[in-house]
Amino acid sequence: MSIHTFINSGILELYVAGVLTDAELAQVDDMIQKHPELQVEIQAIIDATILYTELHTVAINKDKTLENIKNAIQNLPAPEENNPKIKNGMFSKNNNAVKEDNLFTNKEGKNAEVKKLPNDGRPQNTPINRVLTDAQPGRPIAISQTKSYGWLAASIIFLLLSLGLNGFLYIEWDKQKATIVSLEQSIEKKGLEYQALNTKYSNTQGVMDIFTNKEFKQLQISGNDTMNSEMLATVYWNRKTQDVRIMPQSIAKLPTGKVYQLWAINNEGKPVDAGVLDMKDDIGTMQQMKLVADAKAFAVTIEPDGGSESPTMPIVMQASL
Amino acid sequence: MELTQYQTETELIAGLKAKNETALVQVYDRYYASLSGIIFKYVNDVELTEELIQETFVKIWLHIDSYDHSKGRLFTWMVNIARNLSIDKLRSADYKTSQKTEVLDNSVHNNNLNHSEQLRIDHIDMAEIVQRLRPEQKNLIDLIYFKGYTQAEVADKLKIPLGTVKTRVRAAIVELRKYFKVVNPK
Repeated sequence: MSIHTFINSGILELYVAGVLTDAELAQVDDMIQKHPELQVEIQAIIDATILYTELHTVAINKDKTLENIKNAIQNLPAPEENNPKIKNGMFSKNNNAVKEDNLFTNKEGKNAEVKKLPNDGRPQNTPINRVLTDAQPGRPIAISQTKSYGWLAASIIFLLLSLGLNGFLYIEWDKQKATIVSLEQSIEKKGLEYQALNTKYSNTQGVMDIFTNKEFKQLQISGNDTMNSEMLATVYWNRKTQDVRIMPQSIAKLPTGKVYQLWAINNEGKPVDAGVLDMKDDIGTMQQMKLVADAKAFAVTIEPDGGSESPTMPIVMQASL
Repeated sequence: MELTQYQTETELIAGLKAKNETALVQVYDRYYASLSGIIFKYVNDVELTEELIQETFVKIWLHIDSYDHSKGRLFTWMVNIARNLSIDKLRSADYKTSQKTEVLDNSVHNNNLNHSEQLRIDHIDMAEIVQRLRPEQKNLIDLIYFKGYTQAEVADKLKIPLGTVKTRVRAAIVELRKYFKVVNPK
């Protein structure tokens, strides 16, 4: 936690008021160890608190009271043992700080508490009551035996309950673990899907850019005889940037070891390699090809895997610009 | 006037532990008014406040060795002593028979700060600032600083979410501090 968040949480105000739980107290002490500069903030809170409490004060006789204190400490007997109540109860809230409500509603004090106990004169046959009734002077052995059996029984019951709870919690934990694993898997899956969509999206964006870019010349190339009449693709060429794209629209699958290769026919009528088509992609995906400096036509041949330096097979698709 | 010979809280605590009376006087001068304010909130009686202040400082003197710096500042420790003594007093038999049963009527729910007899003259401006605190803010800090209520108890009593308690106390104290900086440009 950052020191700023820590200060703004308001925990230090409660620390100064002395109303934190032991756990919170430990947390604050830990932060003070790490950030001693917190003492400045704490002092400021103390100062404000003092001011606020003084505001509600009453004019006591300051000097007389101080004299009384001095007299009292001078006439003290030898130092007494540390009072455990003082030692333990002074910083964290505990039982000896009584709530206002109790002071209001419980005016009879201890008597009221006594009244709450079952008191029909006949002890009931519960283990606790047995211990209580046995706990009479003159029967010391009975007390210790009953007490230890009682505690033993209580311990066993507690142990069994605790084991049962452990089992239950283990099963719950196991279930939750499985849930977490499946959640993790589905998150991972969603992540991959997202990635794929994102790639597709940016591709589509790229395609849109080319569609709308007037510098790209658009050329439909198609089959040139009856055998290849179904074949269709579109070539996009930017003369300025030499950028070439191809989008196969209707194109036959080739046997392994064969690829489609694009050629740019330059002004001298010579075919220049423009790269091979990647047929792993779906039909309708635009592919980036090699740069082409000048072309008057584009053509596609079927070549052995990896492509050729110059066409070795007849043209299956072509068109002139 | 006493010489202010202890500069830091650590020195002051060491002085108290060494049973140096000057240290006690210095602690008294610094804190008696604040602690009186807290005690008076409980007992609502000047004589009783004097008596309890006396008991508080005697207890500080006697038990300073049990003060544990890692559990809070000296002020917090002393406030808790004053609170516990006040509570013990309210529960004690002699108090109950002294017909002061109405004492807590003047408690935290009383938002009216116009008890001018309770206010020290040098704090009048501060009182105005406090008046400007929202009533729920004042209730809140009264419960916590005067009555030692925990977060959970305050949330329960004022019917506000537990998480809101700390942030509201913080806001109120920050408000008070704004003024404090103006009057105490140390």
